[in-house]
Amino acid sequence: MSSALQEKEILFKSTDARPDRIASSNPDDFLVPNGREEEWRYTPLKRVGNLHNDAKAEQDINYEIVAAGGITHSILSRDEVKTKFLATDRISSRTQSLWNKALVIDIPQELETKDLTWIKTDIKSGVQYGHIIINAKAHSKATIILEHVGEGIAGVNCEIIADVNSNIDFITVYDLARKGVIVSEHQFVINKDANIRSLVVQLGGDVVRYVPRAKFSGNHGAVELLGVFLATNGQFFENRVFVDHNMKDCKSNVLYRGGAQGEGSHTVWVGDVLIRKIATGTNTYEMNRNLLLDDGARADSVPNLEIETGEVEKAGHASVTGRLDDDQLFYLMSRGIDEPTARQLVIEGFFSGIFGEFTHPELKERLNERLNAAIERSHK
Amino acid sequence: MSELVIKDLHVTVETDDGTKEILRGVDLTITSGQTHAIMGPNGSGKSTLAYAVAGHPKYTIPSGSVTLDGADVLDMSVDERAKAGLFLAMQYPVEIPGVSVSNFLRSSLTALRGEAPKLREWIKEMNEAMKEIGMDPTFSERNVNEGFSGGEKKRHEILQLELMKPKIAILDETDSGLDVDALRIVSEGINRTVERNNTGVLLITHYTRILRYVKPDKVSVFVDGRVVATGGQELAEELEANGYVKFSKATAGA
Ligand SMILES: Nc1ncnc2c1ncn2[C@@H]1O[C@H](COP(=O)(O)OP(=O)(O)OP(=O)(O)O)[C@@H](O)[C@H]1O
Ligand SMILES: [Mg+2]
Repeated sequence: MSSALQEKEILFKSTDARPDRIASSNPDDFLVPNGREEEWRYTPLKRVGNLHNDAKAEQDINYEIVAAGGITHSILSRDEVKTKFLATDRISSRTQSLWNKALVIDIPQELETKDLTWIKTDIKSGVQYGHIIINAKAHSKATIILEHVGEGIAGVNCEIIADVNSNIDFITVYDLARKGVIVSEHQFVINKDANIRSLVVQLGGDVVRYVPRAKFSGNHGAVELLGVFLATNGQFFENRVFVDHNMKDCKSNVLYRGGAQGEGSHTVWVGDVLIRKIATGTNTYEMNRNLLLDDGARADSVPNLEIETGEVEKAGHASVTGRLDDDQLFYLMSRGIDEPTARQLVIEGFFSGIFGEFTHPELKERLNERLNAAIERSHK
Repeated sequence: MSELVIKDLHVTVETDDGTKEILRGVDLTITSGQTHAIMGPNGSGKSTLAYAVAGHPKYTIPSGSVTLDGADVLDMSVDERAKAGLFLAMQYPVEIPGVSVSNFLRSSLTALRGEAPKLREWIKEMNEAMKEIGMDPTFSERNVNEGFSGGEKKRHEILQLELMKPKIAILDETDSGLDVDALRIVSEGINRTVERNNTGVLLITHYTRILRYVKPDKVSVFVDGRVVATGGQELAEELEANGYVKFSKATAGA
């Protein structure tokens, strides 16, 4: 029996979400999931268009990009791209082996820009795979927004590599049409003194599964993984976060707020933070708050924290799932505000705890517009 | 002229041990321009009365009626009651994370007036009202009641009272937790509202000190879920001196 196979068996037998899993770009290293595996137990595999099994690419993915001055971008074929991306599950590794064109974005050394860089992928109907690489060179500072729309089926992975002392805001918006499906693994690598602040927003699509994985390549790095998701009308949104504290004195902050409303609507958040033996001086906190907006919706929330060293600075995790507060709605309505508007205010207020971090006016406006449209859909 | 008429109001709540009756036949009338003070021991049901009239979903009303100028209040949704001219200043105002005071007040006034106040005039109106009640303008960007001190929450309630200009206002222990200066400022706010808008006030309180600033036309004693006595200000003085013993006995004997 090969050692890879042994590892695989250990992985699929384990019942807790062990973060140390196989990493490989070869899909054959992963069994086709049947839905009973820990990491697939929530995902509705019947609805992912066979991405997990044998869905072939029907077309290349379409990238549109408007880049801030000084930021370069190119669309490259497989042999032109150098990547060390190792996928950690079957869909991710299939995506990794099936994309034809990758989008590579370079933020040059010492470039600092307040202007936004927008990447848009319109997921056309049919199956497609994509790969995006964002290279932030040392001492750079930029904001990148990756927006997914469309009604097709896609696997899209992303690497965000932040070199020494760089400062990157990275926002991913999933706002697909009602039948759209997308599965993504995003890998963040944070070098010495670098800082990545990422926000994921899931509002539109039938199935969105998002696996962000962060690790450090130098000491004193910091990463924030923030998320907002609102599943309505039977949508399924899943987030599986993993932060690997593999360096000293690094900081991570994982904050996700979600909402779910309507029969069959389902959200999943699994947060794994691993503090390795060498990662002394770690400061980490993870928190998921969910609002269940009615009885038909479901939210699963599983925080995990694994500490292998005795010398952490701070480590905490929490998860709270509750309902819209009657007293808050009553207070607003007693001031003449009708029920839909009162709900809208309370839900917006709930999410603003995360959105509030992003103050760029254009970004703020676009995010709020999309969120409000989703909240409005939830009233119907 | 407006009149809120409460007749034989019974209110129950669902508890783990079954249905519990809290109000047991309340009769009260509140009239425009008049202030009616209600005093009663802890747990006698004063806040329940206030909430039930405002329409909190927690309470069930098996019998009785509440009408505002003849219209059936109990038939209205919570926001319709506010639009009809009812206002409740809460004993424990609710915190609403992520919703700014200015957004909240503007949404409320838009709903009550049927159109959004013009932005410029609105800012002026809000700032003036905040100044009158002694709230720093920075409060407009804070989240509703979040991190407000007890006294600040009460001022914020009276700010809303002044902006919303209701026909009838129920003020539930608005004076509790106020320092002497705040008590005076809040009382002035109440008096202004009565003068300017001819609002009728139901003033729930434990203390006569607010009655030195806000002169009640009537004082009622509330014990065990109903009104047991009504009189003038002298009744309040008597309660402060002797407590509710006499009235509690009266109900026990009844
Ligand atoms: N949901 C509930 N479940 C059980 N009991 C309740 C509930 N709501 C109110 N009560 C009870 O009803 C009674 C009246 O409460 P209420 O708050 O109206 O009193 P109050 O007169 O306002 O008192 P205070 O002066 O302390 O503010 C109390 O005994 C209270 O415990
Ligand atoms: Mg009370």
